[in-house]
Amino acid sequence: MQAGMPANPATVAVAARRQRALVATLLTTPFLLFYAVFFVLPLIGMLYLSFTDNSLGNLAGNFVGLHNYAKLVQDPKFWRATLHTLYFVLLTVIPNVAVGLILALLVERLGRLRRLVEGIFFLPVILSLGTIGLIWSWMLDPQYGVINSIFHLTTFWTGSYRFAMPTVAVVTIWWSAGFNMLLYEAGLSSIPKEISEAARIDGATTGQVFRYITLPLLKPTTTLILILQLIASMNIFGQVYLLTGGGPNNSTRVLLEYMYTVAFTKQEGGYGSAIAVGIFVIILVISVIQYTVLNAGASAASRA
Amino acid sequence: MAMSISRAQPAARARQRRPRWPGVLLTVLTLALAALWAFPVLWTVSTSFRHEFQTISTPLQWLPHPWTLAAYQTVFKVSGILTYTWNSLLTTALITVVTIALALPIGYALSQLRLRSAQLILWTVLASLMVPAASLYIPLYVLMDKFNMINSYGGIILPQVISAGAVFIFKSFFDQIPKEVREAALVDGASEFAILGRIYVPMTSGLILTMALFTFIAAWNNFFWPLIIENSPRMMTLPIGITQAISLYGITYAASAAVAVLSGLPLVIAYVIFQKQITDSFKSALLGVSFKG
Repeated sequence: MQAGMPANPATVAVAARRQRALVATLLTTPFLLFYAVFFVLPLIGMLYLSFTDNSLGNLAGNFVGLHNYAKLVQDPKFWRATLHTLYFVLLTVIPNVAVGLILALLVERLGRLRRLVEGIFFLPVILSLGTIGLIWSWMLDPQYGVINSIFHLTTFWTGSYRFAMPTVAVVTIWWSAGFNMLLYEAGLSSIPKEISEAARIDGATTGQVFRYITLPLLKPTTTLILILQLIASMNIFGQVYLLTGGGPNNSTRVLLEYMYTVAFTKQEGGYGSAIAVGIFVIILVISVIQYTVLNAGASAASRA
Repeated sequence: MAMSISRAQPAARARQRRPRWPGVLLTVLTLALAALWAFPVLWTVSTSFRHEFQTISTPLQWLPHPWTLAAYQTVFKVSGILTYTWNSLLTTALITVVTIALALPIGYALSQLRLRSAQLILWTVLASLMVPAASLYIPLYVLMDKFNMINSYGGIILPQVISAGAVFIFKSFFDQIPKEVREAALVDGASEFAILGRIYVPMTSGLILTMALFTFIAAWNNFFWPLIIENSPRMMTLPIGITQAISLYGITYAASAAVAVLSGLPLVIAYVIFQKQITDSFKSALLGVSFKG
């Protein structure tokens, strides 16, 4: 290979390959070890437990075959929780993406005020759910809450069939839209200014520039946000747990909250695991549907 | 010639003038929306400086009159907010450090070492993204019970340190660096670890900061796993501790608001100081990810 190398090139190459293998092992093993213990093992554990009558107290439990799954398919609480979760997805995914886009467009055109306004919209993102729960329980308090005081209402926002879930959705959008705003700002900054300027010179209106230039060029960002948002919304737990506790009368009980109740309140680890498998399957199916729809949209757009 | 100028000029002027009025209106609208967005936080701060009886007085008072620190005194007396804050800071910092320390080396190895199994390992790791973290909490709890790690820092931290996303982002970043950089340094006699530590890690310092901030905020806000694993008030992190404190002591409105302010404060202070770095590095990292997929 190289000139001036005294050793036999073949031996050097073998030694180099050996050393590289050693380095690769040292660099990859720590992560893979953690991956095996805290991902693969629990994954197998979840499947195993779902075939047992494990109660969290006694670890092993007895093998009960498909009993938990038979129970799951016929469990109206599980299907109702699925519907509630989908309702929450409907109330949050597209609105949250839209609000993120609007905030980004509003913030982007500001001059000196940009940092301040951007900071305000992003601030809720860094607050923890515990804090969010406290803030909004107080805002929404039926008797002394500021919202009811301002509008002279007596609505029990988190305790009524009609308003409980939409309220959780509004709080969620307030909490997380700032994150989508940042993503959209990143997307907007990657669009060259020359394109929209050229369109303006050709006489396009602001609306046309947005509809035919900005929005199509933001497509990769929108796709990313939709995927992230759908997963986040399907995994809703904390907001419901803190704001409505699943009520009133379980009308806002979502999938993960049902799993939590069964596994950790009732201590039915076996059946809880079957629910966890069910949740995994549902999220997988929804993701495949979303992927198909987004892809169909993309190919339709490229055909047009 | 003259005509085209006279036609072009008003058009040009109109283009310049057109955005002005709608622009001012839009700015005002934006500021109003920002005020609305900030209101829940400001209202909570305002509530926290009141006496309890002022929180339920009608008509509504926008600002506390008189101002008082009574609520904060109550909070420090009855709730373990300092313990929760310490637990949160400690566990979150450790989760952040370990997450990066695990993800960066494997990302580097998969990208730069020309491993035959690189694709296989990468896809195995990425497959974990399809499984919702929460669906593994039951077996993880059973596992932690076996290890005797319920109510321990290890129990809180360990399940939160594997991030397939971080591995993918580090690998993608290293992919932009030619493999020849490492190989040339090897020929020059540098050791493998010196190459990683002195050449590659400095190149990624911006990304490391971004990933650290990302991980920190996510871990700081994590609610579900801590709720399961922390049963004793001594071990509780902020998001869990403050909700427990309220149900335990029956803390009322002003005190709850004070708890909300205190629990949000550490990250808000950090955010105010580092806002530019946080938003800019978020944007650049997100840009890198969103336009690859």
